[in-house]
Amino acid sequence: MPISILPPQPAQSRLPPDPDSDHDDEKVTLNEDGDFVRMASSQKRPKAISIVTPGEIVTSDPQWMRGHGTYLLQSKDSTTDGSGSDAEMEDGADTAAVGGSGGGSIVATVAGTVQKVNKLLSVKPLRARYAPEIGDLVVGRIMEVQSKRWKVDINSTLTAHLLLSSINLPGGILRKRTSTDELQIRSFFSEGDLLVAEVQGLFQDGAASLHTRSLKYGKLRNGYFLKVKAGGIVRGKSHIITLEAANGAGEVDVILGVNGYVWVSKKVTLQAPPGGESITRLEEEASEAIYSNVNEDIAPATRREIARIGNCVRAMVSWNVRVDEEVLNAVYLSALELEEMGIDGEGSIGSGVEYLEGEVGRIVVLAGMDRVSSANLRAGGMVE
Amino acid sequence: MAPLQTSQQTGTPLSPAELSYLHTSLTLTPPIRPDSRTPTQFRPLFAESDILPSTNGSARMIWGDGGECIVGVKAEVEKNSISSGGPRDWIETNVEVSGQRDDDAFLGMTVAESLLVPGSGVLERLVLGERFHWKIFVDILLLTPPLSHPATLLTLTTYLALRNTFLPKLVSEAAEDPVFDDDWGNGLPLYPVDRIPPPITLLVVNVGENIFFDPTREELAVGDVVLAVSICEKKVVGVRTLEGGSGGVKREAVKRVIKESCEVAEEVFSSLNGVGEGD
Amino acid sequence: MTDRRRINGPAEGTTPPVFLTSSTHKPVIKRSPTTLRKIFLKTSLTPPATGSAFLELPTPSNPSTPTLKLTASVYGPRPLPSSTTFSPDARLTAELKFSPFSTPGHRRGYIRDGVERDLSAQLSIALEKSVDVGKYPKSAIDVFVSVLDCEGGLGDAGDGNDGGVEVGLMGVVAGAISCASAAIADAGIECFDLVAGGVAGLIRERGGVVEEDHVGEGMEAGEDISGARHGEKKNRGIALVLDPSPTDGYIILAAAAVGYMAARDELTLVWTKGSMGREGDGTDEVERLVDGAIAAATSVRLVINEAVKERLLLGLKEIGLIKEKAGGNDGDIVME
Repeated sequence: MPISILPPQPAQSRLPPDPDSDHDDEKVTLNEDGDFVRMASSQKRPKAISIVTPGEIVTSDPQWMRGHGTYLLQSKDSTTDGSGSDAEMEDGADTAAVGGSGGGSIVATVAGTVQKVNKLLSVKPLRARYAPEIGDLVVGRIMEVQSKRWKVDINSTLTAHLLLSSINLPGGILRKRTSTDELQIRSFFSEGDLLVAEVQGLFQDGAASLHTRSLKYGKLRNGYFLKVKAGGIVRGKSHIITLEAANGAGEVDVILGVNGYVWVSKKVTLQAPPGGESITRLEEEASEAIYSNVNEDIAPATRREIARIGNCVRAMVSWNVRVDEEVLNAVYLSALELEEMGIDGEGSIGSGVEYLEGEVGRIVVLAGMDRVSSANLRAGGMVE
Repeated sequence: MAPLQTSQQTGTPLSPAELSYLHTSLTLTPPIRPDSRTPTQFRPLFAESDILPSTNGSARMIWGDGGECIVGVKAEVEKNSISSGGPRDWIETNVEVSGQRDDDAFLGMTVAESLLVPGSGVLERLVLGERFHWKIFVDILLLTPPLSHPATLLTLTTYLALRNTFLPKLVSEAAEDPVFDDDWGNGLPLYPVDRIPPPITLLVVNVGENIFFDPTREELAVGDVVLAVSICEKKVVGVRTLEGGSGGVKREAVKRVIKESCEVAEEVFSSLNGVGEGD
Repeated sequence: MTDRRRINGPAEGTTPPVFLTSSTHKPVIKRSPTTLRKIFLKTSLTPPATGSAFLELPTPSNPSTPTLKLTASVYGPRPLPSSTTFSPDARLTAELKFSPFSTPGHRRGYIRDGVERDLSAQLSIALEKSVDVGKYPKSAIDVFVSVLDCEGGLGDAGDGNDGGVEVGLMGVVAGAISCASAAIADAGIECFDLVAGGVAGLIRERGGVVEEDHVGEGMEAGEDISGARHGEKKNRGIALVLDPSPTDGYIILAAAAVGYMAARDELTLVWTKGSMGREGDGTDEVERLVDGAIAAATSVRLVINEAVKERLLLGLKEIGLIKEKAGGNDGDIVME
């Protein structure tokens, strides 16, 4: 069946079982029902999530500091009486008691959930462009080459900068940059090139400054780029995942950029030079080829699995499942299983079943989630 | 959703490594598409018809990558005049791409050109007696341009809308001013089931020996040639070359593209005709 | 009192002079459906441009009938304006413009309309694939084609040929491709191959007899051809006509224009109009049409080759490298 045309579905049925899984420390835990993620989140947050809309007063309590997504409204009516602001604060039930004590009130500027970290109060929008933070691993694409820097598209409000001085120059990791390097800046990165980098710092205007001064970072080759929505990849422990691909495809690296850009590629193992094993030697060797544009030989089986893993990531993001190593592995195994079933069972979906959009994607993601939860169940049983 | 202004659309090229990876994958036998689709497989799409009550026919379609298109068909009674261009002006097609000032000349041209193909019999159904005729306005609104080329999305939606277009029944004589039946239930379809249906356009990209339908933007970037093939009931009603593609293409490849398009179009037609039957 | 400041017209009206035209005799189509028209093509006629070419189709027997005349000029490779982003390849832009007086019917405005934008896009697609853009990084190659005269059949209001598809635009595109490709070669821009444009159409054969015996007998565009067409409905014989002209008076069921690189045997542009069946008597109409258009383009290619060569020989002669007269009878390259 080359084409499937479906009637549009109401939004609810497309929504995922678990819309919030953005806490870094959130462990996948399991409850009595084995319904792991939803319970995990509800255990973490017993209160109903407070959602605010722009213009809504979050709190007037002066003890809170305002964070992202809010602004400070200098309350004029603090001298008159607090009743007006009280009436507006019907949603902020716990803070409503605090009235005009001289300070202003914190008002939301975006629609989203209120987050409180110590005394910092911020509103996290449900959907927004990526806002870079120091230490984020991002995948970016060179948009413009300037004399000493590159401008990199990282799906953010402003293009990021990559200075010539913050990349590994060939011929030794700690070499100082020279004017020769400036002249051949396009030999490192040219327009359209993809790279993985870390956010090194932020400029005053919020633009990110990147660096690739590590062997993990640099130009991307041997794989396929895909883009998911900016909030689809949440910050986690590890953003470079290596999966053992099926069908003799070898190992596949998945680089999950926090900005929603994902790179799936064949794992490239650095060949240790025959003589010395020292790490500096290795780095020198690697740096020769680090800016090459030529792919290695990639077997068709590997290409197929790269595509499948890419589909898994896409399906997980579209069904709002957090992408991490464990779940991605499970979803990937489910996808493989589905293909086997599809070919053995009904011939109608035999072809193209690797394509994971729409309903097939949901089935695979759910199956993957089940797999994770049952694995947790077993692990939990062993602990007990 | 406003059109995305990311590297996907601003024309930043793909990296050489990416292009070579895609090209090699797509030239393999069997080819491996970056999203594991089979060469003839389309991304899933959602469609509904008869969504706008103030039109004679309408349809909406959502493409797999987020593209969304709405088509409204309106009919007005117009006096035959000698000064105008005759029957070819009786159907007017407008394409509006939201968020884009300069509309792609190609889009409107393809739809109009294939709609007005001689022998389709539509123009005869627009005649209202001796002095009047229907004037059909096909307004295509591309709410979100898809990341790949919008031609297919646009024509599939137009097909659905035209298929669901009904015109009030004429009750007056040929020489009189036209008077219509008040009952919408008696309306006549613009494209009756047993007649030649409206055409659709399929986008096909050729990479090496392989042919791909519903190409994504990346696939378009590595293609040898990108063709838009318009098909109307087993007949090819128009072929156009689109921008993109890296070089010339052998004539055998063009012929094969056209031949395969006809086969795939059969299935697309049957799927399209199934839209709305479920309700 | 009479107005002395102005030169007044005569008090009594005059009748404008009527010139005798030779339009009394009918345009007789002498060529058979598979014969192409002769092409006049000459390069380097616009000195300021890097390269240029002029293409004209022969004037038919009736001098007042329009014919296709167009010029192409190529500027570049020249540096891209600094505002544009870096491009590792040359950017080729093509612009096709109809002169306001070029169309036989209505006057055309100066403002670019949809038709011109569409043709420009098709022209640039057809040419881009032939030019070795990788050789000219960061540069722009601009091609301008202006149509000075065309034969009509542009799908404009008032053309009124409701029996078939219009081939006027296809003829313009094919001519523009050939002319622009010659201009690119004249500009000394490296290209993989020259592109030639060719048009072919399918017409219904009349009564099983080969069309060429009958075309002469008064099938004018103004005649009521729809009746003739309905009469022939049952007859499924379909004939191929190469390089059809809107003034020929054929009822064209389907037409194709191609941009064809003969040396590489590759197509750069395919554009068809009209419905082409796939059943029929085994021969696929699409394939037949495309092959026909390619055949037409192959012949046109010979003219381009000659025109480019001729200019080169002329240049060599001027600097004294070649003494003897170069081939070709003074630019009028004749193709049979």
